[in-house]
Amino acid sequence: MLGKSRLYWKNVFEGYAFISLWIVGFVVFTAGALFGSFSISLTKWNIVGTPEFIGLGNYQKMFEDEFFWKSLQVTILFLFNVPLNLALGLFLAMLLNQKIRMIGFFRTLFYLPSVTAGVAVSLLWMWIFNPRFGVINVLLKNIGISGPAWLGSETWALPALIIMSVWGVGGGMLIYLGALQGIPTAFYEAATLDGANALQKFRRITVPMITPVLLLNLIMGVIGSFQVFTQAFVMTKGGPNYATLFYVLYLYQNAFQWFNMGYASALAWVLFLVILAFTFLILRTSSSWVYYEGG
Amino acid sequence: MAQQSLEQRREQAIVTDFAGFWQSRHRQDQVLRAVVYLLLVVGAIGVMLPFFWMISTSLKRPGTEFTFPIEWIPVPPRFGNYQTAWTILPFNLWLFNTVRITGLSILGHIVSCAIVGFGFARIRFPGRDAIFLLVLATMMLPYPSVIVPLFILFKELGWIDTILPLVVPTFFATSAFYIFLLRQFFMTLPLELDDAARVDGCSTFGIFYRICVPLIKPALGIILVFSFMHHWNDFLGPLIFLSDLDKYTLALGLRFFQGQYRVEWTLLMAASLIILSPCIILFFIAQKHYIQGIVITGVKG
Amino acid sequence: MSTQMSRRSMLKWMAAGSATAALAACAVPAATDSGGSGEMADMEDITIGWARHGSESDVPTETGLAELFKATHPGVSVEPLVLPWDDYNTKIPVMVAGGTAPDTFGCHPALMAETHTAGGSTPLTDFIDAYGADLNYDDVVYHGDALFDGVVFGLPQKSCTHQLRYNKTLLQEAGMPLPGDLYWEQGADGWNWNTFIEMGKELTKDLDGDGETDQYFYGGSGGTNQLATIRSAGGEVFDEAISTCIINSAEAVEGIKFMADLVLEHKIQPPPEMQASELGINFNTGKIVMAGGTTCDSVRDLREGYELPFEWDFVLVPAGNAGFRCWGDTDQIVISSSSEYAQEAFDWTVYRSSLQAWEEGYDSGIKLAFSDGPTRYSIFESKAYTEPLGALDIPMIREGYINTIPNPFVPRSPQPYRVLFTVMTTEVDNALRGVKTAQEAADDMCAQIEEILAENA
Repeated sequence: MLGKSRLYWKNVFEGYAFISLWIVGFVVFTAGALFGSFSISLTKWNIVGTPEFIGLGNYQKMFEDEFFWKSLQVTILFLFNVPLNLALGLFLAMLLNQKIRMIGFFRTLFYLPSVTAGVAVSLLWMWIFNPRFGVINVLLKNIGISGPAWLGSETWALPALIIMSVWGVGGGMLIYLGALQGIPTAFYEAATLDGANALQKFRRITVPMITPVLLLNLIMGVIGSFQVFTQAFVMTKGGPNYATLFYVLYLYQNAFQWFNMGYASALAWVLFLVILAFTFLILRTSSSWVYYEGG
Repeated sequence: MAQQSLEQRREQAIVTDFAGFWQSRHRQDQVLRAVVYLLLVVGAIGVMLPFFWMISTSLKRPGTEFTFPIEWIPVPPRFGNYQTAWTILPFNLWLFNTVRITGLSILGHIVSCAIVGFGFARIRFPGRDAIFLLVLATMMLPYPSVIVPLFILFKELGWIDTILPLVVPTFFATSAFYIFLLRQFFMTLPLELDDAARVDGCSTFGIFYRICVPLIKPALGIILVFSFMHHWNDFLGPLIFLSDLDKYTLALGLRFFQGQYRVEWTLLMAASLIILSPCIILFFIAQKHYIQGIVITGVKG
Repeated sequence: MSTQMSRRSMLKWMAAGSATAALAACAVPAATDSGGSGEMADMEDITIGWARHGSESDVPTETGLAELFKATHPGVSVEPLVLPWDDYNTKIPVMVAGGTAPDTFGCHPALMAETHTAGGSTPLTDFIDAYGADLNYDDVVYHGDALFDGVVFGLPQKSCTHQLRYNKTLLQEAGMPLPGDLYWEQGADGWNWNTFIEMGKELTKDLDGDGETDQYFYGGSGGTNQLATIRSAGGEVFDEAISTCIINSAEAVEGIKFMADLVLEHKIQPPPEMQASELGINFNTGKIVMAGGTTCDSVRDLREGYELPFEWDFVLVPAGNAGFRCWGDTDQIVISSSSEYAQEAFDWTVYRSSLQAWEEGYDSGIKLAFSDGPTRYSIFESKAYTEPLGALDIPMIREGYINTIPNPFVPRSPQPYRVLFTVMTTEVDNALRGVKTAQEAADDMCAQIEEILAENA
């Protein structure tokens, strides 16, 4: 009994010692900003004048703000890129985990899009998606298809941005690749001896072993998608007819273009709660499908 | 009826033939490999198409970027664009600044996030899961809403216009993503490792440093690559916290080529490609050393 | 019930907790920087902050002008902060909110209005009066942009008109008259909606005979020319008191209908979805006869080493029933209300805005003509303007300035940017798509604009 208790306290001490760096960093660099942004959300503040305390007024305003709902809807639709990126990333990682010639070349190539600086990428895709002179529609025209207007079309603008996000699948791919490498070869050898085929090995060994990073990519994908901003900011400005009015774009417009800093901060905290709820749900269900060796 | 059964029989024969063919390990291997190559090459062309255009544009005469039909190979190519793009703004100075910020940040992230990630992954203590959710929560507040509070915080610290706001936080594990990533990788290691090490008299820090860290080298490689890319391309942090032109970074400088109504396409693409090149080299080396990949038995045969 | 607290105390309070912890944790001494701006107050040498948005070539320009200024104002250094457009519009609000706004900074009309409403800019009327005749204030373009209730809050850093760029080569090959020449003709054959449509039908072509249009006459343009067109039809966004939206009046609707007809009826302009986010790509393909362009950014195509595969020039948006109207606006230099060196900041503002800076700059190799646009009418005659832009029809460019009516062109409404570039452009696009009639689009505009008015009442 006594020994158990000592181990318990040892774990408490060591646990907090290991994460103490984060705690200090959180208190110093993050907590203040979070608290500051929350304080502002309770005020009406046009960045120069005096913040005027209005309680939950900004939060109430949101319910009647059609653009708040519109932007939430657009952002949730954009979440479709997450499963797409998860599946494609894993598939690509499996392909790139083979022992074939020039594998380093191929890996670098598929990772390239994730490395290219944002401003060039957004502008590049504006040309690619140009309805008349961009490469996609020119190629489609060559095979007799009249392509959609992409970023100019209310229907196609969001799919276009999803296609663009898939181009940057290399980041997720890299994480899978690292995880695939961690699977002991012995597992596969044993399975081969038992007569398992490639598909069985994939389902019984590969997938369970990479579920921890699958969870990572899923949660990061969800958080990242909720906060997506740059593409719409540079390429569509939220149009056409608000079809790409992402939540954070609307927030940015409020904060930096219309100087409604209080309302923007309230928007931020509502988004925070939405993401938190999603993450919490995913983490809750994860115990039933994520397989950990340790912990 | 008879015809149908005949067809069925023929089909069966084909299936058997195919199965026989398939059962040959060598053949199986060859077909798979061909499929893998095919998929990779097709995918690579798709991925590279935008880059071909980037390169092609970087070699064009300004003003002729969009002549139609698309001119993939400009005649004559203007290699001078690269020199112009690099010297029109003090990119050499910004390169130095960027290297300094990136180098320090990578060090900060790797050391601090590995320690913290290990704590969350392999030690059981009360409050752990709640705190971990808090870690994740720090990623959930959209950045535009914390810019102003952060700016005021660093102003009060007297850190504005220095690299401190960009570098110091990295040493305090402020990147929830990297903590999360390392935690997930630490968790895939078998617990028996720890027990065995403890029997040998290893302390918890010893287990972390001597046993676990070497085993998650691929993950550290990923963080190296990710944090390099992140700080190399980050413009928002430098934009908010730096005001002196001499302290700018490459990514911030690159944005000058996009104006309110027009874009300097040729210079933007040329400068982007120059800035991209160290990333390519770094990634190529990193994947060779850290992410070698394994040989799945089924494919190797 | 609303409680007020001082902004500074609240923000400090917010930061205080974390700041103290930072001191304890990493023992870095915090510099108690109480001075709102600039360096240590050394009487010998004063540093004035100067921020503007700009692109790559504006960095050496501002450094060079600061040096020229220092030559005549020893003891006053100007420290330029140049940032690209999008980044500038993020950074300035942050600096203002943080209480560290640069002493002087450039404001486009929307930022000008927002900064003024928030109390971030210094009134300059007294400074201008003190300067007297030397300043020659009547020569300054677009007084209106700087005026709020009769008080001047800035001097221009640059000015732009938004006109149409036309592809001379395509027109000449087709044997058509140049719009620039038509402009000077009065009457029915002049540069008006009818001739625009007629020429458009001639020059919109299916070049390869596949049944699809390959060459359009008009590539369309953004919200700036839309407002100019609505006004040239006699329409207006607000009534004079800016208390009612009147963009659904018969005149304004006629302007919207004209724009929609170009697409839907005459088909001389591609549908708006074809022109989204194109950043000048379409005009530069050489497959469009005319498209919107500004007289201060487009002219960068004339710089050495640049070469469009065709010749081009400017013309105003064609005249409607109310005659010619042209979008024009300035970026004003304002002096931050937190600046400690208002007089020195004003001296710099005067210099930066002057003909003298254009000419001295030009002699030392700085060509403001390629980015900034005249801040004074006298600049149109200066070699600093005419020599770099000699290939263009400079009297035409000047016409744009004359036809910028009213002055200020951007209504003094709450959130003008949102009104013009979110509400108006979205609804005009809806009319161009045929989703709504011109009248419906205009009514929907007004519904949203009234809401913005009510919110900010």
